[in-house]
Amino acid sequence: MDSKKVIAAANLTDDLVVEIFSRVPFKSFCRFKCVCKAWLAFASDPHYHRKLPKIPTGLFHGGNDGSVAELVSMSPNDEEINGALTFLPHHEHLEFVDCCNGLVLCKYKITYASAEACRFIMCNPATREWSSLPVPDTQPDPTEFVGDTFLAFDPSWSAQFYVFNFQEKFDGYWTLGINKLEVFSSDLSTWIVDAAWSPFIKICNPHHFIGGVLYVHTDGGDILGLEVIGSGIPPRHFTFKLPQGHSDLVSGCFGQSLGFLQCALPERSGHTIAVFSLDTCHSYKWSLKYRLSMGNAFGRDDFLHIDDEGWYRWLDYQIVALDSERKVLSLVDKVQMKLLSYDIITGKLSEIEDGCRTDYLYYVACYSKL
Amino acid sequence: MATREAGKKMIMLKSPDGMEFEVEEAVAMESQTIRKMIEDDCADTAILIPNINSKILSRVIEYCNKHVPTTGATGAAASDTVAPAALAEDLKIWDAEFIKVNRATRFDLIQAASYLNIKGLLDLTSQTTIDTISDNSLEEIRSFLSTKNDYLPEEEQTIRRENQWAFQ
Repeated sequence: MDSKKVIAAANLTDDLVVEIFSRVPFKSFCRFKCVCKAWLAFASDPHYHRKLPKIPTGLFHGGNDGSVAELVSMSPNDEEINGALTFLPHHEHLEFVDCCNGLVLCKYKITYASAEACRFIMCNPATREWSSLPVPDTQPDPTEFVGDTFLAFDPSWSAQFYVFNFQEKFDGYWTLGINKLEVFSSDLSTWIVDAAWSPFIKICNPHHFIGGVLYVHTDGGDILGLEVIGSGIPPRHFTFKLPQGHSDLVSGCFGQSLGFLQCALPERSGHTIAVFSLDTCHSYKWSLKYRLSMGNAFGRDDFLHIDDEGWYRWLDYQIVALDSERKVLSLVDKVQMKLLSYDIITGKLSEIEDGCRTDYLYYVACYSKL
Repeated sequence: MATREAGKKMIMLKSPDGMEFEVEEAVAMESQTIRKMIEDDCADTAILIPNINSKILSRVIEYCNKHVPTTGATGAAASDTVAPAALAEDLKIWDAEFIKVNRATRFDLIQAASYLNIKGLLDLTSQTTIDTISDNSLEEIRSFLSTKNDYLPEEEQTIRRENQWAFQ
């Protein structure tokens, strides 16, 4: 040990330095790691890991009352992330479209953009960078088509981002299925039309992008994979089934662990949640990772509601996010109208905030350049 | 204080340099460590507080005296006349004055707050330290916290590159 350290009486022990660091934003902690090797080592020390700041996470949703979006932060120290996106030009005319890992996609409202075509804005709420996407080549008639637009960004796979814009035929009452797909890639900064798209597949939320593949749930109960295979080339398509015994993801969601797609689905009338992991190397088979008791967590047994005629069944909670790395599930309790966080290790529920919306999108901050 | 109210239990705290401090039990119990000792009946006569000298211990007691929730006869009278928000504001100003100490004393206070488990004092001392170092250069942080740069030049270059975004 350094002899000077022993003599200097007023030095803080590692425990106390960690105590202080537990109160700083993640960004400050990353700066402090450059001070000396011991401080860098704190981050990988299991004894200190729980206390130290981690990459900020949260849940995004479209804003109310004139704001574009709101971020429900799950990292108490990090106020630097601009979840209301007020750094965007003309943000009052924007609407929230999608969030994927650390990026957020918005578009100008039709009322504002009517003179021009639909314009998308991509931004990073942590670094406050943004860029405007070029207008797609073809502009469909908004009375005949509606769009479903998904953002695809996975910083552990590539620094590029993609936007999948599905055009859905609309007869005034019903949507008739997707009949066109356009994909934007940020490296070429252009849109390409996917000519191989087989028309009239209906897609539903949720969706997830991981390792270059966008996974979308279709209304046939299948999952459609769209794999990015190169610049300027349309994605490769493939489909596979949800885990056996499940036909939809209505109350469930996607997630990921170690680069593999996962999904969390309620089972047995909501008494348990099963988390499955997809083997993408070989068989595209799902394997069960966890079975989590919701009866114990909520302290009640009746989750399933059926209307008087017996037609309509619904669960009184919904899974909105699965974070296997941090071992957290986010749920909405539709009875108490609360957003909850479930700790996979301890099996305990804790309240995040009041709220009854279910359209939350999971956010993990990213600090790399756009 | 000459006129102590009857029924208030007093606790004797001893510092390792031989000083003794008589404090109200409620004040001493601001420290979760002492609270546990009292609740476990380990505090019959006097409690020796190791590692905390009399100068620091007296300051810690001063902090706890100020922050102990005001209940009972005198306390109720005080909170009747002062609005809670004004009381909190008053405490904030008091805290800001209290923490105007040199670096060595502040580190001793952090250590004492951590050992005695006094959350408010630990928050106050830690936050003041963060405010001091947040906008400083790495070299200034090293000198403030007496840490040596033990990175080799190429190692430092790598770690700086990886965390470049955090310096912007």
